[in-house]
Amino acid sequence: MLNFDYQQLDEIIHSRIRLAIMAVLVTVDEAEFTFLREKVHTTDGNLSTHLKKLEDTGYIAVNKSFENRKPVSRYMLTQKGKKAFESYVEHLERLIGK
Amino acid sequence: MVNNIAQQELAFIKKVMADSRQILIDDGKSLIFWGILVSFGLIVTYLSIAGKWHVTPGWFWPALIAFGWVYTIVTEIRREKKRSVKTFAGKIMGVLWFSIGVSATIFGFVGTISGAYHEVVISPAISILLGIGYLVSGLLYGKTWFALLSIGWWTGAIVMFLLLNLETLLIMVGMMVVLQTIPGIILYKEFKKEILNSK
Repeated sequence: MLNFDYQQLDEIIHSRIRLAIMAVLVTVDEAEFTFLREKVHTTDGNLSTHLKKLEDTGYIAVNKSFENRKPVSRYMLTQKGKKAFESYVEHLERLIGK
Repeated sequence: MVNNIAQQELAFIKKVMADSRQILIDDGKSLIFWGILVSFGLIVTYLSIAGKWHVTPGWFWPALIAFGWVYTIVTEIRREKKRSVKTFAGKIMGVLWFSIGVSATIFGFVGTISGAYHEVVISPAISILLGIGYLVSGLLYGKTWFALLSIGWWTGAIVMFLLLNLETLLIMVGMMVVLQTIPGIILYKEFKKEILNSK
């Protein structure tokens, strides 16, 4: 890790859980909190913290509603998030000389 | 070192993305439902025309297809509400089968009512539409065997077009069972297995 050029890496995405969230959301249009928890394999609290960070950065957007009187949060990647994810992957590919 | 870490990160991203893509699994219920419904309708029609059963009122097919549409729309709305994730591929699948359903319904009713063609043309024409649906769905599911069923639908369509007789109804029943109901059951079993594995 120490050899990474942190000035070029996106620190927000460069965390296993946030990276996993972004990778899941890039493959779907939108996903519920429960779906993300299942795919990312983490606790509710931990996932909420990371989702908040991504939301505050503007990488993801959330749509909160009630379905059958139960609160449902649906998350989706924003354009800014898509671009950030793509440039993160491009950067990794450059590092391995792809 | 940097190279290894970057490779690990990319491998991780690919794994997560591949895992998320696996959510596009059909439970096969619609295939089973429509396979049985249409087969039933075709058998009743065959028996009626062949003179073995004299009960086929004019509203039989409209009622059968209307029932099919209502059931499908209600179950799809329920399923949509329960769905924890929405994908672009899922949207394509929905639109694809909806458009095939609408096209088949128009072809089955409007054409025959207007007298533009004989009823025996309906089965092969609908087989062609189903062939498109199976090919696209199979590719989206990532299931080659499902996509290859389209060959069966198109071959059946050619055979039925060449025959154009009452027996084409029985051929269509066979196709509905072999190419629709049985694949639906296979998808349903795979879906159940996938659900169990994910728990």
